[in-house]
Amino acid sequence: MNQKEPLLNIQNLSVEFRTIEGTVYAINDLSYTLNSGDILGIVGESGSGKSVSSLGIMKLIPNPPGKIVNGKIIYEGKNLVNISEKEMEQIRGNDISMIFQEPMTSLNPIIKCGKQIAESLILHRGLKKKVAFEQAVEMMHSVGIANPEQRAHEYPHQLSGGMRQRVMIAMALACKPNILICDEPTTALDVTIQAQILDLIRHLNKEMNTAVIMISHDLGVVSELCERVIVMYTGCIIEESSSQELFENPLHPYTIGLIKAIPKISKDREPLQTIEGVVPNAMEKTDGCSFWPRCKDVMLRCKQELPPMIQVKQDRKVRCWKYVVGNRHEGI
Amino acid sequence: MIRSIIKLMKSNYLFTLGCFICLCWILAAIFADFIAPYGPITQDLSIRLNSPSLEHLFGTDNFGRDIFSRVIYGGRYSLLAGCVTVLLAGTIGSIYGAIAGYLGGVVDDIMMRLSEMILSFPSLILAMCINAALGSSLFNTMFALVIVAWPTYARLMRSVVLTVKENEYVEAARALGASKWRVLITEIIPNSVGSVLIMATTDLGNQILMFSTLSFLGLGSAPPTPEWGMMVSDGVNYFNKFWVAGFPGLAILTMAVGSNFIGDGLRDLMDPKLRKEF
Repeated sequence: MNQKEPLLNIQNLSVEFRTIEGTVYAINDLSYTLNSGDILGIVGESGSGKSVSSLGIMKLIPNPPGKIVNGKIIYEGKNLVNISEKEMEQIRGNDISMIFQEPMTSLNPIIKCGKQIAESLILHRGLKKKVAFEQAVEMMHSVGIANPEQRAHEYPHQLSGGMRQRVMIAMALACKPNILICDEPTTALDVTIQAQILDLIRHLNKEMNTAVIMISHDLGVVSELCERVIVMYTGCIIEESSSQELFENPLHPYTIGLIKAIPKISKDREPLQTIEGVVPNAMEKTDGCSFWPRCKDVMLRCKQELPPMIQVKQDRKVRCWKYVVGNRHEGI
Repeated sequence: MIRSIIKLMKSNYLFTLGCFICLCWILAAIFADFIAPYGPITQDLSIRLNSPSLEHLFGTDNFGRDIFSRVIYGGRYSLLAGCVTVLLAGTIGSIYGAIAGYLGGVVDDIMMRLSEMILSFPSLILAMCINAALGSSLFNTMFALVIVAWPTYARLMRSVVLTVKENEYVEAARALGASKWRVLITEIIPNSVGSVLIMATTDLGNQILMFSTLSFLGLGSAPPTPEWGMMVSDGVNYFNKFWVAGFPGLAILTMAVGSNFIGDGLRDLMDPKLRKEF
């Protein structure tokens, strides 16, 4: 593959949910690229479309009511939006894999852990049961499960939360996929386990050269792990940046608010800052920027026109009228 | 699983009693040839309608046949009919219901409306109609009972599948590349059958009752087959000789109650709210 060609290229992706009450515009015009070996973070509040975008890549959006109405998802030259379900099943788990938020419920309670990991090897690699099981045990070892031979014969309820998430990761990585999508993998875990799981993901990313898409509402997790971060709001990307720059110098008023809202542990505690207002109803499509009702720097133009994605630097994009030449522009 | 059943037996004596009763009847039916003192259709008109005695524990009927032996042999027919009906209706119903619930949407609507067509008839009358139309034989009666019984299983299975399919492990399996049908077979059905199994144990008693009812009404098996329901029906003509209808009736009662006890016990085992010390 050409060095410059990205592993995954999402162009103008839009997803809608058509419900009885009306159409929910979950994702609007989402575009980003992922290079092989990258760790990309996607942050946003609940309902910002971060999970739907990842399900979109897997083509697992429940249909009906959900539908990809526009856009392309290009992976290895194929547009995943158009390919058949059969071809997609080949890609899922084999090329693109996913781990979920709740390790407690993401494992089948009545199948032994080792067998669950072996399942995808049998499915995609056509391995014999015994060989697959041996590889599963090996996989469990490489995700840091102590005593994998014994653990492989245990049921999910016999394992702790962190252990189950490791099993989940082993399942997702069993076929050595090119892309691993992590949908808030540490939300349900406590802080020390969270750090271990993040370490594990980073380690596996280096070792297996698996590109990772890390979805989280936790900016701490993202800053810890990711090189590049996308901030989403109401289904749009509003800022894209390297993770270091994002935290040192956030551009979009929403990102600034988000970073201010992180609780800090220090002696002189200040009251926690919040962003005023709530996430707007995704059923209403506004003409302007969707953040203007909550924005401190709102201008007239914000209410009338959706700001374009503005390239302010290399690898630094923001969707805000503040940074368009001709408007007030400062802070860069 | 086995350990929790033993625990259940210790704490829930009705469950233990149910297991004991059912086991007794099953063993009696299997080893009828050794247990029964007389043949089930051996007639001796000189001793017709004798009251229970040491020689004839349950007395004799109007043809002088030993009722005890007939009850022991009769278990074969009733238990067979009950088990086969529950097994077939349960399998057909659960697969049907699982498919309907899993696919959802229009398919679900059409499939469930079809099954409700059968449910909308009074079940006994429908079974009688089918049985009467096909002619009475053991096989036809079982067929009629299956036709009547499967929609209940389908409905139960569908409702369970509707909740099971929302579990994250179903989505996780899809995300790992399992096809829809594979997910249905490996993830959804195994996680849903629990409640169907419980219903099946309870239903076993009902099906034996239904079968006996049909036999009582002259459908079902033909004389001189020693079938419990038919024996009760024979006894109706000799109302002052309680043993003729009474003992086969008792057999039906104990079998139905026993399987209900088992079903109740299993339900308690599965229901975390009722699961006190398990």
